Amino acid sequence: MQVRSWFPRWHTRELKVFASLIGVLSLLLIYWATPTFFTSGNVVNLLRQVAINGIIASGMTVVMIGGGFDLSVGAILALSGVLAIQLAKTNVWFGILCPVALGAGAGLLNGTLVSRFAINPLIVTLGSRYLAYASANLFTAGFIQYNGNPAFLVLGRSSLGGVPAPVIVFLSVALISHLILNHATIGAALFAVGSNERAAFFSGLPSRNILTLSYAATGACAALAGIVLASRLGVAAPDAGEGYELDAIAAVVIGGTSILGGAGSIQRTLAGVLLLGVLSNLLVLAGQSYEVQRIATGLIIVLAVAFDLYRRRSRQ
Amino acid sequence: MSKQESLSRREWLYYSSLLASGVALTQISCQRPAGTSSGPSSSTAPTPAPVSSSQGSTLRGADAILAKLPSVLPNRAPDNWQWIENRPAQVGLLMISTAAPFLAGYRKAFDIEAKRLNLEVIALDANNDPARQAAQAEDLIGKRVDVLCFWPVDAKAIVPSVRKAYEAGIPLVCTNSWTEESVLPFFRSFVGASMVEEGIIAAQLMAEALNRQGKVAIIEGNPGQDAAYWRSTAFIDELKRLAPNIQILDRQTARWDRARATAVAENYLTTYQDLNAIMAQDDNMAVGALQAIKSAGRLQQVKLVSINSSKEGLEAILAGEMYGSCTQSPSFEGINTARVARDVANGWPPVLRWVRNPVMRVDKTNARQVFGEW
Amino acid sequence: MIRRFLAGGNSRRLLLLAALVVGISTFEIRFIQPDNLRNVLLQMSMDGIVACGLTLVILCGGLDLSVGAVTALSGVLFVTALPLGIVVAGLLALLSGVCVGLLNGLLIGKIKLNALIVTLGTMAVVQGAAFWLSRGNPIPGPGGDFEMLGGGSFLYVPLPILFFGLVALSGHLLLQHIQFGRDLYAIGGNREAARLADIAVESRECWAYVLCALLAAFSGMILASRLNTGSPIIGQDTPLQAIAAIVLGGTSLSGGRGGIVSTVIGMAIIAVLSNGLNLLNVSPAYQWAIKGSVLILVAGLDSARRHSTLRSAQTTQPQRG
Repeated sequence: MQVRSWFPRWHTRELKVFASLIGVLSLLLIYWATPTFFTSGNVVNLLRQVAINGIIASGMTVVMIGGGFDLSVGAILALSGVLAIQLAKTNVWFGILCPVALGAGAGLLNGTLVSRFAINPLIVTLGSRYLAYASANLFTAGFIQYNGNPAFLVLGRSSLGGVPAPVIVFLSVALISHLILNHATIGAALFAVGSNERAAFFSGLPSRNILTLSYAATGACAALAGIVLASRLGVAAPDAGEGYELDAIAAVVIGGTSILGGAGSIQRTLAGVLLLGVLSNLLVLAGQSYEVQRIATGLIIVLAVAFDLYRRRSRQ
Repeated sequence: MSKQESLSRREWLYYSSLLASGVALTQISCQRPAGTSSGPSSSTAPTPAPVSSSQGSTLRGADAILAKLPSVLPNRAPDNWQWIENRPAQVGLLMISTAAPFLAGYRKAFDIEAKRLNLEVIALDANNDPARQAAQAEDLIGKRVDVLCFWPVDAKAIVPSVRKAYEAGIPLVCTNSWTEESVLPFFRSFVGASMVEEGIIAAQLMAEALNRQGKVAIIEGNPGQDAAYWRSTAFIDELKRLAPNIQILDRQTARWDRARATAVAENYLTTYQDLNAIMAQDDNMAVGALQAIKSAGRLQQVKLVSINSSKEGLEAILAGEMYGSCTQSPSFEGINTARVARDVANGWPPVLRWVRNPVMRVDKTNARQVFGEW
Repeated sequence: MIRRFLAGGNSRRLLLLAALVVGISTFEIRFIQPDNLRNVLLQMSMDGIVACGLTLVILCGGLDLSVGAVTALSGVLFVTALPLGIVVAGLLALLSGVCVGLLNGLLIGKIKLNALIVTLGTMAVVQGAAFWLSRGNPIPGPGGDFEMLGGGSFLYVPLPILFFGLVALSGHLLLQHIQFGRDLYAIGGNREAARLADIAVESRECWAYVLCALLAAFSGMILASRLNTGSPIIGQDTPLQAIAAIVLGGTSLSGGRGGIVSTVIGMAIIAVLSNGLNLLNVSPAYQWAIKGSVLILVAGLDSARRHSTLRSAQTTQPQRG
């Protein structure tokens, strides 16, 4: 067991004390370096910036707990944004419900290909990513879409008691996923399918259907994120969403959900999303440029996954 | 590994003979006699004469060179003569992207005019990637289109592709953003506005808006694209001349994308609490920045100046949310690129070497008279 | 009958390639012209070099998403370091690739972290480094002799194609006839069994990642010379394109099956599709749709073939790091 020698043996209590010490020190450091971080305006800003990534990451958590992952979320975001803008011209509710249904449908397609035809999720979601971008382009003939309807724009631009609407959507999506994962039978079944699919199948669970549904959930979340983004900006571009999938996967992994499936929770993803957001916010406040943000994000991802491995190995 | 993966001796022979025949094929085909041009335009390509940019004029850089290139005398029959055949010619159009409103307006105008002029359009969009644009240029050169219109993503990275197209004998047109100065003489015609002039107008608007002092942050387009470079450079230089007390705090790129511009503007507003104004290089990005300003509730403190007036931008100017902009009509550029391409494809010298898109300053006083095209 | 059709592996895919070529040239004869074929080969070479390196990593069961970023970084480094002399600059660029590969290899091979996530992280780090080095703007090259690497020809064959051929040939020889290559297949097939068979698993994996990043750096140098610019924003699509090519060629993503020849054929299919569809004036949207459907179809048929041959439930877990 060569791996163990890489990490020193620390007891849990020492680790907890150490972690809290680091937490307090970093708070003091932040206050000293960038006092504007703690202003309410900045906090609201931070929450609004992470909302879109958070919605997608919640969906990604569901599918990762089931053992798969979904690279097509960015493309579904673009497609649903474009559809939402166009359909909201006739009826606003139509423009919100239809793209979500379409996102769920795209997720169902992904899930069927992964579970029933046993194709690697990487390839399936790669292919559906191309297809979704193609559909978005064909639908708009490549052109960007506008909608100035204030009833539609309320979703992205209004605030309720100081909290921006996208954040409310994010928190409700997180709450619903948490309830389903932890307090519904299908959530427990998903955990079972994620940890060992064959065992779950042979113990009577409809593992294929559950897997398919998890992909549908991801698709629906991505579609919702697309609608919120489109209403915030007022336009939808058919090539939006590039790189969103990797940001979502990064947030989920930093939070501590294992990519192999079977374990994870929405709270962890929330923590991961916030951590990423706080990191970029701090770097921006400190005047660091985009490059340093990318480097820091990458380092955090690697550290998080190393820490996750350490936790898993030390538990054995 | 299974047996079917390893190559037997016979397969080795097969593959190597394939390779050898491929090499022989390319060897034979690459020996083209020098000086052959292809396509219906058999007029000789213009000999590129070295031109240097002059000092002391208001135009700088590429625009100065363009202004000094010899303009060609009109030597063509007018459109309504019956025996002028609009014979179908293939036009290759290399665009930077299609997912921005200005580009969509340009493309629509180009398509409509090309249809009217009976041109077959092969339009490829590079998704803001210079490597992809180079590959697409090669594809169109290989297809021997009758005229190739470049809209370079990166002024310097497009140079090898321009040289290859010129050597293949395809007449070239440059639209909206110019290339690097060394290959400008290879183009038959240029269609577009002077980015330097736009930057100067934006600087004038900014100096007025801030009353000659304050702090400004800039949101830019694609790094390396001629439009982005000259709009910023001209803006900064003119601002230094007009109002030396104005300080440029930061310049970051949002790649002509509205979502990114909103994020960049939010960053500016958070980082610089004493920011007085934002200059966005494009109205699409400016409206995104406006979103960020409104969400932060600093509409009174932060002024906004942009270039390239769009419908939403004009509404913002009338509502007082944006200080001013300048017009740049995408349909002018689209229509005229199609016309110039038709001329050049048929072998006629284009009417003007530089079909210049007029740029006019827009602010609250005349925003109502300006037509928002895109 | 369909299963037997697909059991052929490489030869069947060659048939598909030939069918594509014939099909496209019936509609657009210019596709077959030697100039255009040369373009196809040229466009294939840059991504192909990356794909060859990625094949080595995938064969031993891993994944490397940072290849695109390595391409950008090495291009930027190459152009920036040119004042030191073209040879020194080239060596520096290759060295950057080796460093990134070493990092990946250590983290994934020795510390056994998950390959997807780690290379995601290294991709972000390398992208940031490329942006930082170039200050966000593309760096122009000096032109002239510098363009020879990407634009020159030797015996009328463009240099990038020659490099790609050399890389593919040596990769193939490596995998078939040298112990290192055979070890990679063993590791990909069953890691524990390979370890028990006394193969130095961690060291081999490390070397695979180093070679992959080295080849990506080389491809970045060629691209920088071709464009005469060191641009930090290129390569964002490269890892997914390369994976698509590898999958189309028939290499399994869980490792242990496939090879360089499959990757070359897969790359050829993609290059022929893009070039042909460009010539046929098919809009980019339809091109994406075709690419996506071809990818899913081929992967699905492969998986169906494997299902029927093995007659066991295939795990749906993504490959482990």
